[in-house]
Parts: sequence; structure tokens; C-alpha cells
Amino acid sequence: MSEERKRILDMLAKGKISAEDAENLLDAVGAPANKQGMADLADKVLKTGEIKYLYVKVDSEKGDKVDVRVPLSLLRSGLRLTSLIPPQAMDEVNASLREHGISFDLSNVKDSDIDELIAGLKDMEVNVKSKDGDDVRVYCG
Amino acid sequence: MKLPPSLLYVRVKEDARHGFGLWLPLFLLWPLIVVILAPVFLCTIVADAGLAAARRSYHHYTRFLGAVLLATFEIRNLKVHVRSPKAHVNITII
Repeated sequence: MSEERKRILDMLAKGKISAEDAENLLDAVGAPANKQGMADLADKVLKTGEIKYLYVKVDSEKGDKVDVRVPLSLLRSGLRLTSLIPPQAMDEVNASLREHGISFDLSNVKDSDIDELIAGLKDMEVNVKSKDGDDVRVYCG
Repeated sequence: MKLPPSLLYVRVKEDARHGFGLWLPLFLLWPLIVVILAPVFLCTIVADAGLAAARRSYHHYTRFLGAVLLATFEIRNLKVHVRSPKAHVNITII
């Protein structure tokens, strides 16, 4: 535990600050380190080659097969782009997403969220098997 | 240093036929893209300067354009392979 965090918790224990103040202070102390740590982790995951690509494999019962290999760096750049979309265009995008039942505000996507997402993809695997025999697999490698 | 996509490989094969493969040299388009983008970047710089002077909160058109360009650079190594009982299509960006 860092010295700053210890001091904040001591102040809380002694009743010098409220729980809410302590939470705010802990967030302020921890945020930059967590952000940097997550960015470092995402960089490490991409640069060390632990995972480089997102694979989408579709196997249908009729014999059709689709294999797509998307570089994760493309995913990262694409997500980073969302923070630079002009506000008018962003409003349109968000409205369109809402119309399609996706209540997600793209302007809230931060760099740290993207890094966290990339780092988390390492352990992600989605397997879908339909009753028709179709098979969809999404994973990173 | 990140480089833009250099080659596009498309391979199509139908039934038992031999099929064909095409190597498209995307690097030949780089000079053309530079020529097109130079005035566009100039315009965005002027627009951003104007917006910043007018104290508008959004004045990042140049950064946006740069980010779009970088995202297209990252398209390298994208691979799409579609196989049906009748045909195969392979697309690779190098």
C-alpha cells in the first residue's frame, strides 16, 4: 500500500475526513497509476505478441465457412477514434444506436477503458452453437 | 514507424476450376494519397485555428483526420477467408 493511501485511510479512521472524501482522495491518488498501469498492460499484450489478432470463425451446417482475422491494433485505433468524432456526428451515431436498442454513449469511451478492453481480450472466448448446427467462435490469439 | 497497407491479395476459386489470384500494389497509391491529403490537412488546420479562435470546444478536425489515417494503417494483416461448397474467396491486406 502506498504512503498516500495509508495516510488517507488513517485520516478516515481518525474521523478527520468523511468516507466520501476518502473515496474521492483514493480515486485521485490511484487514478493516474491505474490508468498508466492499464495502458502499459495493453501495450505489453499487443507488443509481446501475447495476442495480436481477433479471430471470428463461422462454420455453417450447409458447409459455408468464414474466417476473419482482425489485427487488435486496428480495433484499438478504431476505438480511440471515437473520442475525436465531431460532436454533431457523435450525436447522430448515439441517436442511431439508441434507435437500434443500444443505449451506449460513445463519447464516454475513454482511453483507459480501451486499454482495459484490449488487456481483457486475452482471456476472452465466445462460442455459439445453434440448434441448426451453425458454429460461431470469437477469440483472440 | 507504421506504414500504410502495401499490397492487397485477392484469391477467388470456383468449383473445381483453378481460380485466380490478384496482387494489387497499394503502395502505388501512396503518392496520390499524399497529394490529396496535403490540401485537406491544410483546410483542417485552418478550420481548427478558426474554431479555436472562436473558442469553440471542438477544434480537433486535424487530429481526427490523422487518427483516421493511422487507423487505416492498422488495417495491415487483415485477413478474410470465405469458403462455400462452390467457391473460395481469400482477401489479405499486407
